[in-house]
Amino acid sequence: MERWLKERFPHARWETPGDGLGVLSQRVRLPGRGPALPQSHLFLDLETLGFVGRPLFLVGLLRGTSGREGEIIQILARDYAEEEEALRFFSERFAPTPTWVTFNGKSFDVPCMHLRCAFYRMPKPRPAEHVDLLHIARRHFRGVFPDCRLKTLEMRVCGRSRRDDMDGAEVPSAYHRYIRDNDPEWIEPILRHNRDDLVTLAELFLTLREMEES
Amino acid sequence: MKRRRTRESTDLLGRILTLAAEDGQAVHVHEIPPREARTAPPRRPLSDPMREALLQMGIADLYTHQARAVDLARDGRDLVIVTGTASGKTLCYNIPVLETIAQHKDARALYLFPTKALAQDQLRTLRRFQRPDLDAGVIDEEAVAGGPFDFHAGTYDGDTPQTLRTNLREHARILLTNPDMLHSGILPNHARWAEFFGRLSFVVADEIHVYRGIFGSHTANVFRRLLRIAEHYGARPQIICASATIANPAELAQRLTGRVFDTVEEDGSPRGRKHFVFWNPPRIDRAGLERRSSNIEARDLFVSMIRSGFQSIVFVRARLLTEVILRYCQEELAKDGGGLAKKVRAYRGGYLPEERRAIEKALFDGELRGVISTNALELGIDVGSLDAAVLVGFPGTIASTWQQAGRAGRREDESVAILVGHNLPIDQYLMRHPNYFFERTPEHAVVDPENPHILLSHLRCAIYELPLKRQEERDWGEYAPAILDLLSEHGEAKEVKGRWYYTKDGYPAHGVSLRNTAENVYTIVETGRGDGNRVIGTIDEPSAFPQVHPQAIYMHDAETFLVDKLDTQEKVAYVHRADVDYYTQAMSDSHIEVVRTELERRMLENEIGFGDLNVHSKVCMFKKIKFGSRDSIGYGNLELPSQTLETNGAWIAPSLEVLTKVTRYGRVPAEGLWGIANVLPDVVSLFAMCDPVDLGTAVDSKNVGVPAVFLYDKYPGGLGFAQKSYHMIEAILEAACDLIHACPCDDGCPSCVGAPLPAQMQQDPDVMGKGRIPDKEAALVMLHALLGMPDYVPKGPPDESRLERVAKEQAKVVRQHAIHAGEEEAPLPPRVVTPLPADIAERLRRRLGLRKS
Repeated sequence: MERWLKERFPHARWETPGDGLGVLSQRVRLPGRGPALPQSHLFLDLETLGFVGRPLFLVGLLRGTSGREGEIIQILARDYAEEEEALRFFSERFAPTPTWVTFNGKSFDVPCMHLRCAFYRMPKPRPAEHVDLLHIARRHFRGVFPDCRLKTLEMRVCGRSRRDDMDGAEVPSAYHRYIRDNDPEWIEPILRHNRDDLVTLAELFLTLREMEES
Repeated sequence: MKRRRTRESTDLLGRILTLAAEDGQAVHVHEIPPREARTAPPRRPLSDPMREALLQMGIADLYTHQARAVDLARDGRDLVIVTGTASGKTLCYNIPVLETIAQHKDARALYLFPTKALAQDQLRTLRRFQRPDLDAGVIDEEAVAGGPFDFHAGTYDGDTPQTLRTNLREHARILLTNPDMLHSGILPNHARWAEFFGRLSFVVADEIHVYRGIFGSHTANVFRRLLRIAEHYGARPQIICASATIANPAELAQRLTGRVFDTVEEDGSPRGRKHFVFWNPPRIDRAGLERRSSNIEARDLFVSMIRSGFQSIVFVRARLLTEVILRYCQEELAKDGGGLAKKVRAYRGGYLPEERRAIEKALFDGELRGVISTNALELGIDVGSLDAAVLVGFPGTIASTWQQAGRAGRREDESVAILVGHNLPIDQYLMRHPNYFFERTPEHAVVDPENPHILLSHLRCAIYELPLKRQEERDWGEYAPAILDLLSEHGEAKEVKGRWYYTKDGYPAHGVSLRNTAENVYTIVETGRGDGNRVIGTIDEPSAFPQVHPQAIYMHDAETFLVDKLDTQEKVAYVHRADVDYYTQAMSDSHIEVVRTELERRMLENEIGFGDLNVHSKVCMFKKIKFGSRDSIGYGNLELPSQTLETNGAWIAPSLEVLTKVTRYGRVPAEGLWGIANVLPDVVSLFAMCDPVDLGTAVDSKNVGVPAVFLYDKYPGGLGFAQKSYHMIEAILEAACDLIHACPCDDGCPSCVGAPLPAQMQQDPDVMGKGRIPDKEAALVMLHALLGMPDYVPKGPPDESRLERVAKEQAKVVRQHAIHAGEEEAPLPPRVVTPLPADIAERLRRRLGLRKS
């Protein structure tokens, strides 16, 4: 896996703390010019095995380092059994960040995480403040755009679209395949998809904040 | 006193016997002596609020069985309570549960009932503890707040609005639900219920005798999943079960839950004297083949009791009959004036819930004087105890018969149960041999949670819910590891670090129904009203075709509605009110079809097979039957799609030698085959660990080409019962042979070659052919010959009436066997010639140069 990752993500750092999970970190820079990324914010996007209540296997995070640069940290359960450790790792290292930013996280990511914590009988991490961009985006764009999905906003607000991006609905089965066949090829598109979502999330946050302030 | 008593005399039995004075219908009277109440205090006194609440409900002392149940429950034992109808079973679990809940603010309890209606009923019972000063029937949470037992309770099932669900998940101390909801709605989402499961102190399962056969085997697996989830969250709930009288309640509870149970069965509740009367409608023709309608007899009995002020219930087998008999009774009672006709109702599945609640309550309050019901009122919905129960036709099992008869039974006064025989073989057998019934023990309830077909479905659900440790595998039975391997091969499961995980998308509980009945329901909509259309009832899919096909008369509360349209896409039947003097009875045609033969072998010279088999049934026509006279006044053909059960089955085709042996003794081979077909479900259920009703049988010669007996699983895709039978057919036939030999009856009875229920149970017996119990001797000759045993020499000479058939059948089977063996060509199919219209025929003849016809 490690060699394969080096090949696919040459600039990323791969760690396996306590051999209980995998953590992939890489630096990113938001495209274009504009305001800096706040360092008190944690951008969060989960990948799970389906609807709320199903196991999660990837906690994708982005936090600002300086200017428009930041670090993407992807906490990956390398098999089903590592989910608990992944949650613990997140809770200890990252959950204390005061503000979480998500897209639809109030209905999905956070309840999802809480149910899985309930499952493992762990304390539920909560941010001091939770900014759910879906709600803000709806306020501004309802009736303006055909819908307020992240993909649409990425195109209309950030002015770009992805080529050969994985469809969110295919994520669970790709992860199952990754485990079943023990083949990292299946995880790569998920990691990329999650990374791109995080970048868009951060960019959207900056744009919407400007709109809110003006 | 809550019940209005208007009985004019206490000599109930005398009154009934007077009715039989002329025609001698009362062929047997069995007395069940009265019993004094025995009370006892529990070892440790009840809590003050509990004693107070009970006193307000009029309960000063506990019966001995209740006290013992409370003691055992307080000791933390798992227990099963098996006492009679209306003996106060629910107190046995409500007392310990409510005391625990009041003491430990965290404790939760889960109540399981086989139907939604029972859960509703029991919620009302719980509400009475909360506000004993209020009337029964209060279900509104607001109204009961602040009483001595202040807790949140509610039903959680398919009818629960989404808005209430979250609230129940978070706050319910007692949750009332059913195994289906637990299986498909609660367990797969257990993380949302983490707190509930973590604090689960009690699981109460009432009416567990219903969980037998396929339904029971599924439910047992749901129990395992439940207990596993509870354990995951750190709880080990105590289990209290209650059951109607069956042969093996403690064993059933153990098989269902995996725990060992103490049994409480010594009933301390009082009983007035009770009489069980067997009532045979009188013969109406010289030959003695026809009898008066059992529906009319039931009407006369019921009307007479209602007139004398005895509150009564009539049980019938078919839903249609509740309506037909209600109509007869109302017509009769209306002659008196005084409004008695309005004080009887029908009760059955398909009435809307609120209508059912209203009837239950009116019956309980005594406002309603009588009800005509299907077995929907057989389970423990509390309608109070009645004076008389009239059972129209044998309900099919000993246990059900006692259960229905138990609806009559006053604490002090005399009560009576009457079994009115249909003019059908089994009912007539019971009329001739009443002791058969009174001496027989109720049926065993069999479940087989480890049935691999059923287990496969639940292992999927289990690993989806919670990874399964390797050490746990064998808790699910010896085949569990092999089944997990299969799931792994199929890409649905994977073992990671000693735990099995579900590795597919989707929701495995969805594809799994716990019952072998369809879940689709049709809505019945009344049109042509001034104020717009209105839903008046519902009907399950298998019944929709025979009962609400176009032009059918749908009856509701004795009123007649004509069906205009049956929309099979939207699943709606549109009806309008139509005052007609007839009802309709659909005729269906059903047959089996072997789709693929998978296994074949010989047993001596007999052919044995196993394979995929479809059971088709098609509603093809209906008759119009005039109320009262029962005359058939017309019929109509129907074009409805056929309904198919795709399953698998095994068959036995006796060799020509075997069939000939039967005719040589002057017996009819077909009767031998039917006799064997009727005895098989009982025998096979013991070998295959299922309930006899999970099996279907048929006799048919079209599929194999020669006469054969078929046995199939009544579950889509099959559950392995027939397959097992194929492999064990010798042992099964030997057991069948022993069973018939050991049966003390003279010429066939429901325990051996007679089917306990007619094939078309939803039909009105007034409209059915009569049939007879197949010849026991023919079955014995055939079984001996099939197994290569020394010839069985039948007792007595062959029946004269059968001799002509014997010769005919012999010729037929010889020919069928010759064709089957390829010695003779199969006959050509009969031609169907539709004549040409005369003018066209003439033109064509002219064109061909033929002479004028």
